Amino acid sequence: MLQNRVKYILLIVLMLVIQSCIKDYVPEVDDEVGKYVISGKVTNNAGYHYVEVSKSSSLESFEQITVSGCQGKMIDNQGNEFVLQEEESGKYRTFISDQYLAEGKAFKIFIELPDGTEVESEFDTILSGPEIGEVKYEIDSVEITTGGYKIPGIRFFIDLNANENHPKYYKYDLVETWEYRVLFPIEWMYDGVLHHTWPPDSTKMVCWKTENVKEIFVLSTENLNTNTYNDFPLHFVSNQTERLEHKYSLLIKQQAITRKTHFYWQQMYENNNNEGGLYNSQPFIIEGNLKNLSNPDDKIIGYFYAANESVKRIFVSSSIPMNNLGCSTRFLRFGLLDIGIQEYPAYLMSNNNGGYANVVLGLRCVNCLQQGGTNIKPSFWP
Amino acid sequence: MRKLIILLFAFFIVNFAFAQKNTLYSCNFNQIYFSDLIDSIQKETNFSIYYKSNWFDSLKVDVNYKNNTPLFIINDVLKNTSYMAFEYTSNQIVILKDDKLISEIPKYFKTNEVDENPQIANRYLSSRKAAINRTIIVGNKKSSQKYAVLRIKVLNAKNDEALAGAVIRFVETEKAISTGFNGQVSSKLKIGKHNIEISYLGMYTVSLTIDLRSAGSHTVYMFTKNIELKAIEVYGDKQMMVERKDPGIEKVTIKTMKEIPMMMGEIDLMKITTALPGIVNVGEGSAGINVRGGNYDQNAFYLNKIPIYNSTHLFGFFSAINSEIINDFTIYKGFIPVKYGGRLSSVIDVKSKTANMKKFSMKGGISPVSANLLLETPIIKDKLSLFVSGRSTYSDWILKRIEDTDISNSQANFYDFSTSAKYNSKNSHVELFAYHSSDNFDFSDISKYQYQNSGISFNLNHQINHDLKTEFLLVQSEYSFETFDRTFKEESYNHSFNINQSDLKLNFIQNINSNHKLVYGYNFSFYNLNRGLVEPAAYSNLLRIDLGNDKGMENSLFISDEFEVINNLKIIGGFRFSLFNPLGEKTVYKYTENRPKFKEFIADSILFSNNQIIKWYFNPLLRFSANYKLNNSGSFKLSFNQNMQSIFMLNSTIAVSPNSQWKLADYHLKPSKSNSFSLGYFRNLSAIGLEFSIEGFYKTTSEFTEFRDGADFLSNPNVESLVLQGKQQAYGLEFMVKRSFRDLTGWLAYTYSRSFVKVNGGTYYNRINGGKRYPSNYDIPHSVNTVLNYKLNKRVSFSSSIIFQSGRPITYPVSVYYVNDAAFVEFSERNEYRIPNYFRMDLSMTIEGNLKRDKLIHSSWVFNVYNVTSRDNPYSVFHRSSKGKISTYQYSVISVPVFTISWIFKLGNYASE
Repeated sequence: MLQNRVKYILLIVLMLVIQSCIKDYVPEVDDEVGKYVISGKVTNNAGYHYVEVSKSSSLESFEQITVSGCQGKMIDNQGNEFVLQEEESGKYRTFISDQYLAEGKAFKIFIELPDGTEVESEFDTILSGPEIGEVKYEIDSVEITTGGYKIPGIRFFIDLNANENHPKYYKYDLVETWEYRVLFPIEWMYDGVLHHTWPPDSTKMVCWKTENVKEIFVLSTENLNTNTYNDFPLHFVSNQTERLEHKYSLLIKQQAITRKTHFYWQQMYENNNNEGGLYNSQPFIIEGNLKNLSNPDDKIIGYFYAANESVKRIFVSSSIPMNNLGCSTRFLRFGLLDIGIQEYPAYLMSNNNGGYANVVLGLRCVNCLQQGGTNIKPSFWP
Repeated sequence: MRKLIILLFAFFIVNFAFAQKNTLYSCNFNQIYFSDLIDSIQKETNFSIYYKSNWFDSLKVDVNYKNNTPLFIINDVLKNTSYMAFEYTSNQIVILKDDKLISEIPKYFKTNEVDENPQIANRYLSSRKAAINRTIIVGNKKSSQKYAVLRIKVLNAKNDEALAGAVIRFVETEKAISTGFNGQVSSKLKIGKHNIEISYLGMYTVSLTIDLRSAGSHTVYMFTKNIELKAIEVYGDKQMMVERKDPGIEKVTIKTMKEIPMMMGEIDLMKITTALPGIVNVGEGSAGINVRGGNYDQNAFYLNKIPIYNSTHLFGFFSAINSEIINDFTIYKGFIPVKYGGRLSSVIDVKSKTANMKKFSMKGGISPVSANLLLETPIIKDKLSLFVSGRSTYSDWILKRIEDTDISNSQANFYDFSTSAKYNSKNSHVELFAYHSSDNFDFSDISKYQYQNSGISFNLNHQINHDLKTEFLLVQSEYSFETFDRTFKEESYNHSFNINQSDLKLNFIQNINSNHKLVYGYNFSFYNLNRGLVEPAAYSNLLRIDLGNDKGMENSLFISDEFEVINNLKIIGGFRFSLFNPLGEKTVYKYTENRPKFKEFIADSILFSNNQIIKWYFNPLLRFSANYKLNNSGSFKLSFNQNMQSIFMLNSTIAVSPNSQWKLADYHLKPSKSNSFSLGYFRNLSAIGLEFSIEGFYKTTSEFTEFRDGADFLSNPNVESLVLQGKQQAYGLEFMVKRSFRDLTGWLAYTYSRSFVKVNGGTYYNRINGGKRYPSNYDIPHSVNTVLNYKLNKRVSFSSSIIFQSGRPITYPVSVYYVNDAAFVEFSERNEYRIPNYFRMDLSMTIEGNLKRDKLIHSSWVFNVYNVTSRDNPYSVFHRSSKGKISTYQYSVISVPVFTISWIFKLGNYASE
């Protein structure tokens, strides 16, 4: 009876906090540790070509477990064998000269592990490859997911200028070198005994450090119009380390690779860059190209591949403001007795009177070799 | 009646007079107070007259009557008012305002067509206790036959809507039949009297005695249980009676839906289904459900027969269907009737309501997420009616609060719209229904997703004769999405996808005799699927990729017989013959034998011209169900089902993403086929108000489609390079206890269920997980759901839902290794581990507005708390390896209690529909 008189009220009450969250979590898994890991590469460039052998370690306390004492060789598709020599623990190399490294040559490795297990890879072919393109960088900033704030740094880019005769698959290996400095020459050192160097040793105030960039960069132009790419983003270097403080150099190795090699490294990239959001793809087991000839059921992790490599080095003297890491010191209240054995060798600040002060100099203050670099200027350094 | 009397005494102030002898009365007064007239009548006659004294305080009347009955006099005096007097007993008179009192059963006449007058005043008749059964005479007395056909039509008295699935139980023979889609059913009966009970979910049961004299029909009007309706009534119509229920069928009433606590106050029927045994969902924000260990794409979702390819809004957080328009919601997860086909796991059949045929009505609701409105109106009363419903978000503030940067810098909008026109004639119903939903997300200008579902259905139901009815359906539906991705300048692209489906269905239902019911018909579906162009955006160097078109048609013929073998055993045997043809125009590649189906191994190609048949996929499918009734309260059920599916979803992520493409079976991809078997025991423990069921199932699927590791469905038109086909196996046990028709109602469901996949195509490239069997993403062994509703009184009710699930399977990192000084993680076998278990408790309280009868708007408040215990349920566990460091994290979508208030309103009072 009353229904035709229409009147309605809009009334909204809402209150809530809703949020999704990401937090640390340690899954309980049965560690599948101790599997052999073999990785290696041969390029079209004459010189040493390397193979590394190690074992996998547990997720909670992981470390590089190198495996020494392997016997192995690289074998090309014409039956030439290049015996691997152990250069350092777990790192094997062999010298191959130009005549064996023509485009179209295929290589594989054969390794006999210390326990007698025999492992062989599939053949992989050296393809033709373009000259490395222009490398650029620009000042950028990156959001740190955990904090929400952005940190400045520089990002490198590379162009690919390949043509139809070149493969469509590329991998970029980056090696970074940077110069860093300490504030004090070495004068007073204590390792249970007090040493005095006079005149102070200033040769360890400038060092250079070289590291492989631990990221995977793979590019495919399979779905692109042309076999080129402008500004393929590479590595980001932040101002949070000493890398950009003085001079920074990046060596870019452009590797033209086969589709299968690209497939492997693309999978490695995907599996190791999972952001865990709602629409990320699921991780998976990656099968390499190494076969365990002795126990086919025991998986060998890793991959051996051939690449046509073209390299370029650039130098950067950045002007971005640095997060000053500084040199930290510690005051010794009870003099030398305060220095524990674990601190040896401890470098002491000198006082103005030709003696030492009761102050221990921190890592970034003295003797740049302590930070793992070298004080021998690299030959490429300007 | 007794109730009514009490009611009358409560509402009316009693005027009482001692009995006198006269039954006729004479008088002549000028300007006498009405109350004085009544007093005079009561003194002079033996009548007692009841009314509310303040009604006539100032009424003065002129009266001049000779030897008239008091009833006549009072009504004559009151003839131009809204008051009316009724004789209640032989010496009692009641005066009512705006209402009628029926004190005796109207007389029925010996006609062939006896229609009950469905006026509101008659409700007291049809809801009487069964003790005094009304006798309805059907047919002519003169008939000399022994048997005659009785046709019963059951209608909703409110709006004349046919009630399909109402159960008519013959008390003497203990047999039951149910009405068809037009509310009609016929049965051949002996001439004579039959006691019948007509029941329907949410309606008062009607008891009648039919005095059958020759063939004829009777229309029964049923009334909604306005007051005594309990919160949970999953059972009630024929399909859901424990002793009749087909194996693996679940129904949820709209009433139930409204009382289960829901996230953000939005009623989501897909989420509700996951509270039922055998149905799970892998987590918040994930569209799609998994039924009995089946994949998301193995469920057919129909809204008034329109296939809906994406039934969610906002990444699966909310349902794409406004719950206000739902009339009936059925899931077939075990025995799938022969008229359905095309999906392996389940059929979800949602029927919209029919607009009110009697009067205009309006309903709506406001929650923090969206507002909705439903308008219903008759156009030609009792013949043609129309409804229009709409829903829209008014804010994307929720997204701003989600701490996933992808989501929080975004905008999201959605709306959905539906409309229906229905026309009823004596033997036919015609319905035209249209639906449209649309979603739009903008991820901080980096990527945009848009998707739309649209559909229109034309449905004609016609009763050809007493025993044969037909249903004719024409359906057109479309699902499309567009993606704009600007993540990398050089690789930015636009992609659009759409699928068109046209269906023609012709179904017949024929009663051969009281023991055999045949269902047969023909279905035709035509699919036109465009996987779309990946179109490079400006400055992009991306190659334009045409992912290609798929066309296909499916022709199916089916027949089933529902057969009452002996009194306690009912079997349904069905056969469906389905033929699927992928059609040209298409270039099909042939690959070198024993090599993966990759581009580099293409050996040959075949060009098929437009509409040329590429392959013939014949699928003969058997359906069988048997229902053995042990006694009145228990039964055994067994079913065997074969299904096929020729359309798949291409998805390689954990959740179903808004840009998951679909793909038809083609030259290389074969349709999937499944065999499923289930056995169940059902029992009513009516003494304690419980219903109990236990059901086991076993299902195998061949040609199950699984993506290859790292498959990218935007890079390649040749899907055979990206997916593999293998086997799926699922089994489980479902257990359910339910309590209905009490103040405290609800259910407890426990499911043990496993689901495995094995893909082993021989060579390394054709294997997943090394060819070994692995748990599917939705292998949830243990799942416990409880839903409890407590109705404190008519206005206040409480509801809770508790869910526990085993964590879903996940592939974990298991060890770390170094290559070139960088640390990498090695993963376990696919889905070897599980994320932590899922637990959530939700609570809600509903407060209804006052119970006044005369009011313009009735409204209610729903207070809802989602995740009361603020448990941090992990959705996924992942790791980041950055610069040689590896950390593991868990990701939870909702980790705090979410409190919402919704306001729901409708025209009319508490009881209005």
